[in-house]
Amino acid sequence: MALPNQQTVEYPSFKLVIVGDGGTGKTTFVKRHLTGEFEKKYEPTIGVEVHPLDFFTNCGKIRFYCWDTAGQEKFGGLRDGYYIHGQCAIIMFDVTARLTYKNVPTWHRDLCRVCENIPIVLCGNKVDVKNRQVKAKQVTFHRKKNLQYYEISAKSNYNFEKPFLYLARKLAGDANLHFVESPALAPPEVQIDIAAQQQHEAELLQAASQPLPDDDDDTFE
Amino acid sequence: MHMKMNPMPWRTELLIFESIGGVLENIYSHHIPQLIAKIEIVFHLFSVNCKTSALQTISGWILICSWFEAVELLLFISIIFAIEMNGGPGNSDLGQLQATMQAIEIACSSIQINVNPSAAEATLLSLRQSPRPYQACQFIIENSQLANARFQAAGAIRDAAIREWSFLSPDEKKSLISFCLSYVMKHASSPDGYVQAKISSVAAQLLKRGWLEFIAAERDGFFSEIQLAIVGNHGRDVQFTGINFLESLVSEFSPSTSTALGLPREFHEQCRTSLEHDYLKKFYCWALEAAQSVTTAIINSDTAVSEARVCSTALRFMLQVLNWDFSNSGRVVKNSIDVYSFVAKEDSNSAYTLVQPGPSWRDVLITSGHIGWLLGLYGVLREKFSCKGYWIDCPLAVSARKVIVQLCSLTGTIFPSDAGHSQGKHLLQLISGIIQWIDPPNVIAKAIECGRSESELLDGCRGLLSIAAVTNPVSFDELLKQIRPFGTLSLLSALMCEVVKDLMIKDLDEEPWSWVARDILLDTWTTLLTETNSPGVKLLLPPEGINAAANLFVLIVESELKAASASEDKEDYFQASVAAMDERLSSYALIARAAIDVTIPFLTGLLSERFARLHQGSVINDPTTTMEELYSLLLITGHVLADEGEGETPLVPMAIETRFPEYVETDKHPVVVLSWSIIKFAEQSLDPNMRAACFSPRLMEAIIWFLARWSSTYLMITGEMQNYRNSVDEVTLLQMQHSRKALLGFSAEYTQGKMLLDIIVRISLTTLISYAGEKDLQALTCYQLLGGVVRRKNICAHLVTLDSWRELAHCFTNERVLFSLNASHQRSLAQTLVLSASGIRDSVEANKYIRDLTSHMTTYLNDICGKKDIKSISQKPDVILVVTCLLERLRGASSASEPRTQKAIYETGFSVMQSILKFIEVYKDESAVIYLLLKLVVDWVEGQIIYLEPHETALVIDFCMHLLQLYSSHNIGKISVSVSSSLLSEANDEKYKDLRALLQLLQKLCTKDMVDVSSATSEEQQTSISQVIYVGVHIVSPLITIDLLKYPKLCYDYFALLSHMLEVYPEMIPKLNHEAFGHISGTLDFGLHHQDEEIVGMCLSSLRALAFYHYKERAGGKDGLGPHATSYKDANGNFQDGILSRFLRSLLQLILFEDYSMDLVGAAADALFPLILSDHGLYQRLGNELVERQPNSIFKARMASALHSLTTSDDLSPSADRSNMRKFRKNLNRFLLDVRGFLRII
Repeated sequence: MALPNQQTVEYPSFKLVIVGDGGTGKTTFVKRHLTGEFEKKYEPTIGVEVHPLDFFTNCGKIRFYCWDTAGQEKFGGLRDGYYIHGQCAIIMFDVTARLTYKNVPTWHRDLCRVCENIPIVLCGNKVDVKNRQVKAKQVTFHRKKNLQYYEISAKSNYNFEKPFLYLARKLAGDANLHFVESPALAPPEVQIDIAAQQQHEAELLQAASQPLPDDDDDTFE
Repeated sequence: MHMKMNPMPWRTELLIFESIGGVLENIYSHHIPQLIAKIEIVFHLFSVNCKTSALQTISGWILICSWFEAVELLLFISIIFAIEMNGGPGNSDLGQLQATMQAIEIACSSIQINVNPSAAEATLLSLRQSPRPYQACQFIIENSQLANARFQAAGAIRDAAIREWSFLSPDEKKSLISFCLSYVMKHASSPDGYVQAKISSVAAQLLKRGWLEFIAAERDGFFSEIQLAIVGNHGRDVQFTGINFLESLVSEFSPSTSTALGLPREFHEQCRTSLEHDYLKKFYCWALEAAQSVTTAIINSDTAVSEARVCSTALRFMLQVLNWDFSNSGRVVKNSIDVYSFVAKEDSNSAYTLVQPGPSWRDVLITSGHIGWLLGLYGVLREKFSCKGYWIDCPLAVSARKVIVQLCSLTGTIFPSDAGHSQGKHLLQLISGIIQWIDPPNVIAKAIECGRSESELLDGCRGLLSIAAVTNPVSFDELLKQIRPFGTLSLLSALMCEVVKDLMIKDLDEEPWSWVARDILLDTWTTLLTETNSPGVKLLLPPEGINAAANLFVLIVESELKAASASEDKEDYFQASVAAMDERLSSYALIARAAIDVTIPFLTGLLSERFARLHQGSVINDPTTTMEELYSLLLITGHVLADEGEGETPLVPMAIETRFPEYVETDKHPVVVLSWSIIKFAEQSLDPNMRAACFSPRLMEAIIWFLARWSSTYLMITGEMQNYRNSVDEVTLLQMQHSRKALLGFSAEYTQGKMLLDIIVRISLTTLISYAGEKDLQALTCYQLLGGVVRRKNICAHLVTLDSWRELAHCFTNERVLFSLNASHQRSLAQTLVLSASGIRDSVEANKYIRDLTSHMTTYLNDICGKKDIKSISQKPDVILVVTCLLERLRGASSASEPRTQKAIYETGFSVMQSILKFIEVYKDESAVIYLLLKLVVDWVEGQIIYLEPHETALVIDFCMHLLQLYSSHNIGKISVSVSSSLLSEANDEKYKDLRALLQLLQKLCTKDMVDVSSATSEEQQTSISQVIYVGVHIVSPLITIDLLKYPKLCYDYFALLSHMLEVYPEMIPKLNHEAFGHISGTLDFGLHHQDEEIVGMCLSSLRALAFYHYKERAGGKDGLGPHATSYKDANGNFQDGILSRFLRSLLQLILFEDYSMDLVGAAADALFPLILSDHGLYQRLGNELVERQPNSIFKARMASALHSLTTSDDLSPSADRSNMRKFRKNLNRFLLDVRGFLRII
């Protein structure tokens, strides 16, 4: 599923819908993958933003078009209208805010009405925060609905790629698929600029997979 | 792009669409200004009603413009059409309907490929928002070939109908529902499942919207159609569609998934009760009958695909009903105001849910025999497809198993009160079915290894978990004995063994099936054992269960050891994974404690074996494997012996206190033997040769962790045994007490406690000095072990007498190697060392001890500041490093202030005041140092402020003023210098951290007037503190923008300060200049509507403080908030309310109509009452408006009477004294309970 205003790619690509309450970290999660930056500020998403994310697997490159949807009702735009033809999905909640977990069933229901039988990952974000309100044990929704659950932290990169790996495996129907490092850079035969650019991109990717230093040094115990 | 090829009645339109092809190549150039100009022309033409010429103009442009522009233009036209079409019912000729449809189709296509999404979105939203779009939408649903468009049209019907519901006639309402229902039935075989589901859900939502106004016959009219469909007379697809509709309907009526309808929560609650009471059981039976009606077909044929689909959908629906949150289940609803939001089934940590539908469901669920049918169906199909592996995971099999497992959770009054007889029978029936999925475990595990799906086994384990949740260990075990020669506990243990065996050979990163199974089975054990682990409970495991637990524990340890010796690299130390491991180990510990008399000697044996191996092998073999095994064993042993204290002193685990009554001699007590063997081993790490050979950093981590955990439960503890009086006889109790005494005698203050403490300190010193660079190890030593030890006063008293402790202090001040510790570890160590001074009796001596500890810091810092060339010296990397270390240490010492040592810490800080100001100057470009300086001052002020005498306070205030001014003089304009956006955001980040520190500083200063233990009178203090706060607010507030408040932590600190400040220094407010005041009230507005409950709470207490101050001053004939509180004319000559009136309005709006936690009602009452008293006239006006706004006379009367009682109930009088405030809190609670039900819009 290519998007005309983005360059088309010749490798398999999938529409991935990301839903969940406002402030749970959907945009931060996607941006972390895109550029490695971690957004500390909270700016609500309006409607939807679509970002292509590429991954290298042992079976070649794949692309997820991530439809990062608005979590807050008032900025919802077309809401379930964005889910159409979604091939996989992530439902995000925030382990430090109980209400965001309580709303997971509604997000799941709305998603399943539009996308029948797609692989879905439930993600509990912000597990780096010290006083979480939703403990791992209390997360039981995925058991009832046969979803995959991951505890993640966009801030410290914990389980950073797990949701994508799970979805890629399901979509490819290959339980042994795995992500590999970005392929070796092509020799600089054309232009040095491109090589530099690739180098930069590779560094960026590497930087993105490093955890952030914790700036919160106020609590030790 | 998909385009519909219908004959078009409108020639011009045809022209437009034909033009598109020609411009596709010209994609990249588009000129927005020109486009806007064009749109304006078109709009003009439309407005003078020259539609044809407008469209011709557009089609002309399309031929020459870019593709982007073309899309833009087409979308524009589509909006015009949408508006046109809605002109009225008479206006809807076929042409317009088709035009609308095409506009929507184009928009749908462009959304899908994400071209021009905002314009496409606008088109689709315009349809949703247009008045009465029903005809157009129905036209699209019936005619469009594009599934997307049908989907959007259905959504538009839903939005419009919900919005316009009260203006629709009863017939229109019903016809919209009928339209949707008959559409889905008619197109039951449509391949576009999502459109069907959407239209079905629209019908469900509209039916719910009209639920309370339709009479029973009308509802039944719809349902008789549905029932006919479900019976199966119109074919399988229709049957499927009918059940699907019920699924949609029930999810709309269930609180956890209902869709917002813009209605009071009372409405949702009534609908839910009504559905549960009148329909839910009926629906369940319909689905059951549908499933049963296709049974024969499914069993007898291999090709009954649509029958299987009906059956699995019916089962899925039955599962949904079993998941319903039944209201008569006897649970107490916690907060009656919050009825609707109380949806959590089990609020505890449990891994299971209970199903408690009450006695009225007995006939359907228990006595109807449908469980037998279901188990039979599953069994027959399982047999039939036994050679086809995929069947286990087909929807029918999955749904059937889920229903079976869910039925295991049935409990409560659905069973007659016959001492559990009926429930036992019910569970026996279920377990007889489930047993085939899990027994014999070894055969099944083997089959899974050979490729069979694991889902059946996992569901079987889930079934056991559900059963464990509704039984006790004894009845759980008995269950299986009725049909097998062994009990359920033995099966559980055998299953776990297979799972653990599989885990031993698997790569855990891949999360194999056994990983999932282990978690479920551990949950089952925990569910069974948690009860037996709490005092006062007589129920223990039956003897076989104890054996099973012992065997299982042996196997678990074996598998962990195997995993340990195989593991090459370290486990990830991330908090969440540590927590997950901790949880697992805690479950292991529960199992071990169930058979404690076996497992403790077992662990002792394993450990000593490895200790010996390490000794012998250290010369010849590679000891890595043994060390890894020890690592693992130490973690397990630590969990078995002691619980996590979570900041408090944990109790000795019950099993350890009670299950060794025969051991009354200290050195024979198994727990003592085990503990002593570990400590003796750990002590060997003090020997350099042994250390080099046998004690890897990782093994030391486990040792330190173990010592920390062990010492917090056993070292020098006092306190009584837990109360077991009800569960044991006097003799046993006495024995237990003797045994406990023997156990604790090992490490008591009067016995060997001090010697053990000495070992611990010496080991700690070793890890800090001899394991340079091992951050994790040192973190454990500093925070967990030493930090935990100094928390207990009685230990400190011994600590300070130890030579080893003095040596630690000496090394801290002198050893270079300790300067290379991680900065935060140095801080923690400084804090720990200072805290231990509480163990020194003589306060002169204690203060001297602290001075000795800190003098190296102050001397160096002051020295360097005194140098002439400080500017250049200070920039050298090594100097920066030392300065940073010392500042961190000072921070640590500062945060350890206690009454008896406060003087020394004050003097320490005081002696470096001038140096700090100097550093702020010379390090103005080293943001890390600046931040550290600010944090140091914050910590020091926090520790000191409440003790300071007036002259000291004056000095500190003066110092803080200097600091603030200096900081602001360095930082004004700093931000705008940055050019690039990344630099800017980095600079913003630093500014954000600094600002937080400054806010914290101001807040700490404020506490002086809350708590003050100095000899000063409060008058003296107040003026000086309020002055610095006053200056501080003027300096800090312009730096805080709404944008910065989007940083959650800064936002928190800011409002914490604000509420604190307003609480303590309201008199400062009238003196603030207009700008600063405006800033504060603006941020309060922002904070009142924040997502975070705590922030709203702080804003409410700020409001309370403001209003209360004003009210009190006014009552005393003074000015109160003065000009800020009175209404005024703004620059444009508009009349503006004063601040209090404005907040009275917005607070009422908030508590009546918006979303907030009910925990805030008290705080809101405290703010509202003085606000009402301050402007009673406005309050009455607002009250009248509220009454008038109610749609009918019933609500008007209800509102008026509620408002009346709000201010009069309980003899409330108009004065803001304590007792009235309390009464008003109660009144407001009652008021909201009364009115929010019909006011609140969800």
